[in-house]
Amino acid sequence: MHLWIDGQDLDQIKKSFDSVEISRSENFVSVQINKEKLLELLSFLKDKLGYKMFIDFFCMDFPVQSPRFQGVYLLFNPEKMRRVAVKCWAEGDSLPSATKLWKGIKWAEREAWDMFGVRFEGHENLVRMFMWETYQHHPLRKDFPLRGHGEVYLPPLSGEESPAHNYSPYHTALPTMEDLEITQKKRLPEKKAQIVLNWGPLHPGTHGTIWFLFDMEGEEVKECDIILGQLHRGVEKIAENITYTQFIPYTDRMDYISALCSQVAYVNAVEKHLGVEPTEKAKYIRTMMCELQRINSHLLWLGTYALDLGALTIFLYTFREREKIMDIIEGIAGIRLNSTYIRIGGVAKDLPEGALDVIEHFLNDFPQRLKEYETILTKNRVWLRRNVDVGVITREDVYSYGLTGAVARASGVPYDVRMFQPTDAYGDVDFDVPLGKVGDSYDRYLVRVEEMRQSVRIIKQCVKVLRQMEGESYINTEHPFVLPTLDQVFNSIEAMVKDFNLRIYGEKLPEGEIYLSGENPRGELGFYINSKGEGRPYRLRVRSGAFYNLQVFTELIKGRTVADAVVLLGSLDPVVGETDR
Amino acid sequence: MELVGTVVGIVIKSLIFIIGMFLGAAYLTLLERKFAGHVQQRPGPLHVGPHGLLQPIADALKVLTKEDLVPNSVDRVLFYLASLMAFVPAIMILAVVPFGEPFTIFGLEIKPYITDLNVAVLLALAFGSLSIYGVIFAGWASNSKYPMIGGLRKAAVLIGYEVALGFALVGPIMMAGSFSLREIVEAQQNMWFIIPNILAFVVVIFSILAETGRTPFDVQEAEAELVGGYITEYTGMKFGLFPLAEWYIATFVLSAITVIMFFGGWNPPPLLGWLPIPAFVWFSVKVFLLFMFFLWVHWTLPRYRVDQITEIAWKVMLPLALANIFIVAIWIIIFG
Amino acid sequence: MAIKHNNGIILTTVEEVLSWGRRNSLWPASVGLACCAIEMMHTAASRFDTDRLGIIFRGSPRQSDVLIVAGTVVNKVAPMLKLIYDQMPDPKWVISMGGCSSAGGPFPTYATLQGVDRIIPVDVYVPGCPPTPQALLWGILKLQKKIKAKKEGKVWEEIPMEKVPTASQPIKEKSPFGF
Repeated sequence: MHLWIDGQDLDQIKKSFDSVEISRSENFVSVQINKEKLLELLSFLKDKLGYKMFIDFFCMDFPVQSPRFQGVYLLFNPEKMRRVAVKCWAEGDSLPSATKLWKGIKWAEREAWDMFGVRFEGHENLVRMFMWETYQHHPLRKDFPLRGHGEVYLPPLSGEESPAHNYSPYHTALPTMEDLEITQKKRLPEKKAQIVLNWGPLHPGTHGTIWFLFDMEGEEVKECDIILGQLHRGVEKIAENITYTQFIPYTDRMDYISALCSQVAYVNAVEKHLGVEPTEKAKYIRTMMCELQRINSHLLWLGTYALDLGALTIFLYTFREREKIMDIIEGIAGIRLNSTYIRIGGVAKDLPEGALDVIEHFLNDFPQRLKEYETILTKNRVWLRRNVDVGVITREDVYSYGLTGAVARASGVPYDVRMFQPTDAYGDVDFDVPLGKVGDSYDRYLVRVEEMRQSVRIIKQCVKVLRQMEGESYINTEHPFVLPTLDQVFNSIEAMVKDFNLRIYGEKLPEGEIYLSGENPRGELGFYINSKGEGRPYRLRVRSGAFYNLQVFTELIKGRTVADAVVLLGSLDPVVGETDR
Repeated sequence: MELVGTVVGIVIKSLIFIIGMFLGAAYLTLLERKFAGHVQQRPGPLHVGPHGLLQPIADALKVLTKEDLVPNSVDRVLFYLASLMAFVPAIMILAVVPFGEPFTIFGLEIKPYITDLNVAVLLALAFGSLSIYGVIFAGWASNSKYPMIGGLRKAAVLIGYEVALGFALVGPIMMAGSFSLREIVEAQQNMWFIIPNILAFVVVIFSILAETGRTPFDVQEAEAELVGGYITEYTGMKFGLFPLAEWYIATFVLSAITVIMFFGGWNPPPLLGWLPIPAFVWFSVKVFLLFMFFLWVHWTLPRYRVDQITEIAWKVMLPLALANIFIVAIWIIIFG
Repeated sequence: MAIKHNNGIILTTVEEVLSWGRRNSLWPASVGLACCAIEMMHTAASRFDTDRLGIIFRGSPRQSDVLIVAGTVVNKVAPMLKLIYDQMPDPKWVISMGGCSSAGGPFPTYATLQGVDRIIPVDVYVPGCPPTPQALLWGILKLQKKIKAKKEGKVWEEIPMEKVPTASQPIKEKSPFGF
């Protein structure tokens, strides 16, 4: 299914703008325009052609060219279900800010400034997104080394000379508390109300290490900003330095609650660019595991959400079910949480004997458990009073902020990547996409609970198909870019040479670009890969659903209390590993 | 001589009550943890001592020998005073709570209460209100944002529910015609006061949940929002006194008063009076059941927002308590 | 490291009782940083239930005894983690959970702290990425033994890596519960 802009729209663009350059390939269609006409083209796409949903914005660095940086805007047309990319060279290392067109681009522009040092004219408060304000470098630039510069002297506390063979006392730059205070001051330049409350970063209620700044009048929040980067580990920088297969474990550690879904989204993008077709069985295993992981992820959301609202017992009940799923995943993949199970061309291991029986047993048991949670929560008066009409997100907000996943669907936007861009076996299974009406926290709760039921339905269908596929191949090792299995490596010299080559030099992706996304439990997780024909990507951009979903929080919290902050944060369900990358 | 005897008796009894309450409260923590564990399908404390029985002792030893850390920015006098202000009033209510009828052993008459005041109910309410100061002091003296918000929240909740609680207790007092807790129990020999006072009982249950900070009203130390509420900055035993006073002693004492006011105190349940069970046991069983009810609620429900709690207090609980007074008045006119 | 044996009978007994109390009531600060925090939550949840050993998670560092550094410590969060450690009252201990917090793990980048022991002293390192709940429980039990050994004046032995349990290799040692 072709998901990129069609010729009719491209003709219209050509008619209105004569300076555009259009490049079309199967996986990526981009429109390049000069800096002066950029905003004009973007608003033309948004208002005239219906590309009103903001998906992503990021930069790329070409150090030998001038101008050096290129900005890429990804937009989506929700009526036609089509995507388009707009590219623009940043002359003088700056671009016009598009915050007037889409509110969601605010953080993306901050990130580009932080990582590349590209300035945005007209941005309301261009501060660093992940690093602290006094940080000297722009780390995603090509001339910045992966390991940074040794700027701080940190001798070992134990007093030994060198605790490990590769220990260096010179460490990359660490901020001091003063640096962090400067960072905080820059976020809220002037205090408008009584007190500024630092909610987080190491706070039991913030789902990880998000740092909220609330400017409060009594308990009412007047102004809010979010400081991210307390888990910024430089995943995109790592990706440029390792092969495509080596990057799979990092996708786990980004969204650690839904590791399998992230792997599938990433591997699909690589496979499509390489032209690898996974075997039929691998497709069904992937879909099944994805949905298991979705249930797992939603259970964690339900548990922590209820915990934040005071119902501790639900948390422990959902963790009981999570343990069962973790056991299933451990049995199949070998690892509980960050299961690096998906491989280019298939999956790492075959299903073990009896795996399907265990899954079926779980599926028979799970709907009753779900009913149990719903008995405690759905009609509970306290639950209703805390959730109904809290944090209403309109359809316009969804498009403007680029919200995806359950957050978008609760507002009535039928945006489900599994539906309009079915990868793996999603095209062959039958499921419904639940939609909300109001778009409040309660709708988001209902949508996620219903999604768990739909996941059960999908897994049942997959199990049925997989039962007939016993003994079939789970990985397409015939393809020259697919790693052979261990068995083959030990038994044939050709496979061993192939294994060696692929592990050392990497899969040589053909030159070009691809953007492909998967439906993560937290929204659309997209991977943009720019390949120069080498064994590692030139630029790998992760479009994180949680990153954009979290951004709407600052809007929703205004005029509400700290107690509602917990509800809102829980219902948006961010994972810091994915927002910070 | 008689005066000396009385004084010695009161001192001995007070010591027994206070030490018993300390030990009892320590073991109530274990009870709660065990109960919560079984609600949540886990065993709870298990490996410290036989079946976890020494867990409270270990906790107490650790808390008592922890470094007594006082942040530089606090108001020291109020900071120390707050933990006492929270704890002492809660334990002082015990002075007026009777645990049974006077009985005679070896020719010595023993009264299982410290004193039988004729304004016992008022005294209990007054001491209950005093503990608000502990909360406000703790929130203010900590000189930190989370304790401040937690203290203010708790104060707002306490003020609302103290009023409702006061009005709710008027019903049983009207029926007994006395403020003395012992006389209230004696007036219930034929019929428990729960019968016409059912509305008041509902109000009392909500008030106790709110005053002792249990879900759905535990806004003051909502961990997800305020870390630890007004006790965030407290360390060691200064910290230990707060939950001990609030969650265990206050819940226990208020349960005892509720049993006295509504469930006939140590009177046996109707139709079971012939059983050879001492009054003290009946009383303990009733208090225990009520205490477990509060634990059950605590470990089941989510929590309200603070404005919703005060809204319930003033818009629902107070009118209910007033309506109860009318109902009781009519009851007294008809049957009285 | 030579530790002199304490020969006073009464003092030794008091010390032993106190050490027993401390090691049986280890309250960790609930600080979750990354993936390991999920496994830490699983350790506290129904199946593994740290409450059995008297371990309950406290929100405030002022009331906790042990800091479980669960997850990647990035440079930006390092000073705040140190602050949390400084806010905890003595005696306090630190468990470094997982590869990231022990040595930077799979993130040798410009943004990540290469081992939390560069800023705070660590008592027990739990390997794994992330460590399973069994492994974390093992770490907690090791910490208990360490507290005990210190009070008895014995020298604490370092543990060889291969003895760390994983999910498929359960803890085989004699039950360390009880006293």
